[in-house]
Amino acid sequence: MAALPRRIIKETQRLMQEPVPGISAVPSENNARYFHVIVTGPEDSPFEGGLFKLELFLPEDYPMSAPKVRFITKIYHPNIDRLGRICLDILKDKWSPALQIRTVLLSIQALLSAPNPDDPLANDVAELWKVNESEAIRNAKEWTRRYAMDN
Amino acid sequence: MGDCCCKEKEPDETIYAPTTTPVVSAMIDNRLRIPKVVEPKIVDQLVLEMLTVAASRVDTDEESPVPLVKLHVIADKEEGWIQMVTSMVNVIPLEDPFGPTAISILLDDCPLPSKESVIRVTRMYALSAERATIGDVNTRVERNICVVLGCIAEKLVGPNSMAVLTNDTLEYLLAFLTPNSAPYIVLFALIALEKYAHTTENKLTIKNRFEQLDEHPLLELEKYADSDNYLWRQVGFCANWLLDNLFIVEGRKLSYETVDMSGINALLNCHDVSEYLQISSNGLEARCDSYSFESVRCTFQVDSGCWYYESIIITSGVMQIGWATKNSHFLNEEGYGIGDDMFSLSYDGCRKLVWYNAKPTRVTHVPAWRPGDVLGCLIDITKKEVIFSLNGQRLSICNEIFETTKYGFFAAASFMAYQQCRFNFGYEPFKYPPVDREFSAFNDYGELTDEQKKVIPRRIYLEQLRCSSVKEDSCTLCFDDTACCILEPCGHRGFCSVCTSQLKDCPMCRADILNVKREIT
Repeated sequence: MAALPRRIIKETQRLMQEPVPGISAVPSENNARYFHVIVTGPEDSPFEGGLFKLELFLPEDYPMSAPKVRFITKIYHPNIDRLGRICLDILKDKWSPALQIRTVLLSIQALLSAPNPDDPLANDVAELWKVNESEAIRNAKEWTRRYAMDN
Repeated sequence: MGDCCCKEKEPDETIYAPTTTPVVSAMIDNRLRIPKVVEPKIVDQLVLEMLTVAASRVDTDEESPVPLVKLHVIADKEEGWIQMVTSMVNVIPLEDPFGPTAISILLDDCPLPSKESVIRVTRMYALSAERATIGDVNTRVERNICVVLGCIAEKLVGPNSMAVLTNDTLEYLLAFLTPNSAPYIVLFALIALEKYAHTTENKLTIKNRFEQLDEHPLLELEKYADSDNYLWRQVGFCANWLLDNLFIVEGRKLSYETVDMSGINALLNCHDVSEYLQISSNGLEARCDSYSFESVRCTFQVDSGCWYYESIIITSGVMQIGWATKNSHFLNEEGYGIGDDMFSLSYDGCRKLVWYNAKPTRVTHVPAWRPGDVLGCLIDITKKEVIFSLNGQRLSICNEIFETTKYGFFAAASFMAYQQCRFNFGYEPFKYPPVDREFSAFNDYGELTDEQKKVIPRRIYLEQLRCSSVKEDSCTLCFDDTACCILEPCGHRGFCSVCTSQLKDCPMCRADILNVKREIT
């Protein structure tokens, strides 16, 4: 591991210079592999108006293996569990070293716009999302208001 | 392994050091039950048990030790947390090599305190310049307070870290930074300042305060970096590192610009080291003050023959020193270091364990290492033997590592928090050279360019990397090497050979890679 690969430096630089709209990713001052991330809830989603904190860590063999990402802010979402772990294929078997921090965060933002209850991580949430979508969305809005708006 | 507490176990009965106390529940029964506050003596006792546990745990993946669980419950409430801190400050002995580590483990594992609790503690102890200078200072208590402050500063970041560095606390720490204070306290006051300085605002506050003083205390303290007194030597190392990395003084040249590197042909590789390890400007001494298991490899690779180097032990805590190949990974956060995989082998002279593949083998016939001891590390690739020795006294021969590896060895070491060690790769005469066989030293065969000899402070190195431009034809995955490979049959290109060798399928289209063609240039 050792020296910070140029890849990480360059990606970080670009994230700072041309940030992704609605997403802020700032490396920790004393660990360039650890990012504090804030994702704004997408418009027209139950998460609209919320600010969601995440942590993103680039493992030793990044970009050969995927970043580790986790929601810190509680969120009511069928593909995100109680501990903030995210069910997203590109973070697992569909990772490719051609993907970047930027693309990962965009995918997470897209996941907020389009929850996928057929590939659930949080089973109870997914179940409700399938049988009573309007109630699920109400819950998601309520959680957003309660946990993601008071910062 | 050098690991955080929550996941350790004893590999066998013999390694488990018995706890020093009778059953705690019995003690609770014998005393008045106080509903909210636990008897201070019980907390003291649990803290002392933690010390024994910290010294005896060696392996990962088990439940938290009982005293830790109990203290966790106690520290869950603010009063309890403050009680635990009080106990740690009062009972952790000065000389125990695990003392500061035990404090780190406890503060790391217990719930984070609010900034109000932290400030309450600093008020309770009336931390101030007066406390640090008036009357007889109790070295143990003040040292422990400094350790606690450092650990808390490491955990709290941003606004919280700023809030807990009150003026009084800062003056308290600064007051110790003189050659007249006990070196134990000076050392941990420096470390605490380093941790506070992780927050930029604190860094500026501390730096400004240094500049207001008539004499910059760090400039005085860094003179001890070569001291033969190993406590002061640590103080010197830390002061020097702070001056090069955090509190830059105008007009002072950075150490790497002034250090004499002539004659040094092998050193710790500052590009092959985990995040938080600190390396001296001559590349021959390293220190860890982080709550992670930090590792480094040497610059010189050995592939055949017989080689020897020595490590001069500066601190008597957990370090795993030995040999590793490039296949050995530094998983500092997980607590894996040298000796914790199939491609490295090490000796930890504190717990007296030889490590290979994360499994410890107990050593009995030598004492635990002490500051000033010399660990000899011999590798005989022809005979397939690794032999460690302490002050010339040999341990049994190890050879498991040769089952996986034939060549490509580097001297390597891992450090737990607050540990420091100096390496002699042959630049100086060896203290205990092997007498039963011919051997070579890296320094006699190493060749390094002036650039490679520079141990540049990390921030400057990162700055240089940031400024460096990416060449047009560089690999689209690592941006380091030249892109020269074409994947077949899909035909995607733009990857260097190092990256390509690690690919399972095409990064662009996920097609299987059946063949790799070299680009013709």
